[in-house]
Amino acid sequence: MKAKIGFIIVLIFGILVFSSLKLEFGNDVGITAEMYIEKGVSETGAVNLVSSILADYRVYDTLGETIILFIAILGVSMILKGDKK
Amino acid sequence: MSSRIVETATNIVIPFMILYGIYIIINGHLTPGGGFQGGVILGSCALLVYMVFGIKKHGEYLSIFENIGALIFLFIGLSGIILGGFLFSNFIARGTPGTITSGGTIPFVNIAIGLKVAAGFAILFFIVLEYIERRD
Repeated sequence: MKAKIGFIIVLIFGILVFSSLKLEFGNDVGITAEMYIEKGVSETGAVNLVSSILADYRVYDTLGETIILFIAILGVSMILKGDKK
Repeated sequence: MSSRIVETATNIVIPFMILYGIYIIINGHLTPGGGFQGGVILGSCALLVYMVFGIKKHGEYLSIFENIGALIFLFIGLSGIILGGFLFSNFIARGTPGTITSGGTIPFVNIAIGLKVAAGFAILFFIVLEYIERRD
């Protein structure tokens, strides 16, 4: 059983490494990323581009992230809090 | 349970850790960092205090802080509908880039997320350490 799981893990790792060899880094990154880089500072006023994406352009994702954190805390507290009553 | 050396070192280190976490949150739009990162630093302050001085019964107060953070975050988003036209619109003046007052709503969003994440991680560590203490 462990040999099968290990074989599957090695296979997935090999597929990922083999497929990443064809990727070309440092080329054209797309319209959205170029728009962020060019207009990020003038549109949001924040110098930190990562923060301007997280808290202005993609703030819906940040909202979902905080909801995920809340649900994680809720699950942990439901499992580990115990029954006092 | 903990030694006197650890307690003294924690007493010295904790104010600087809290200051650094608040700095990371407030300067989130200027330097690398932001609400989540600074909140994690503040939450690990809580973990250090719990591990050295033991846990106290204050989990309910922490959940109030987390709710306040989430409500500030949602309030910014909903006031963006009224003042800017769509949800989470950046309705405050941008200011000059590079200063602390720049960024519109970004510093406030960072503060809300930082409060929520710090309280959330403190609750998480509190619950896990309380479970370990009760199980032993």
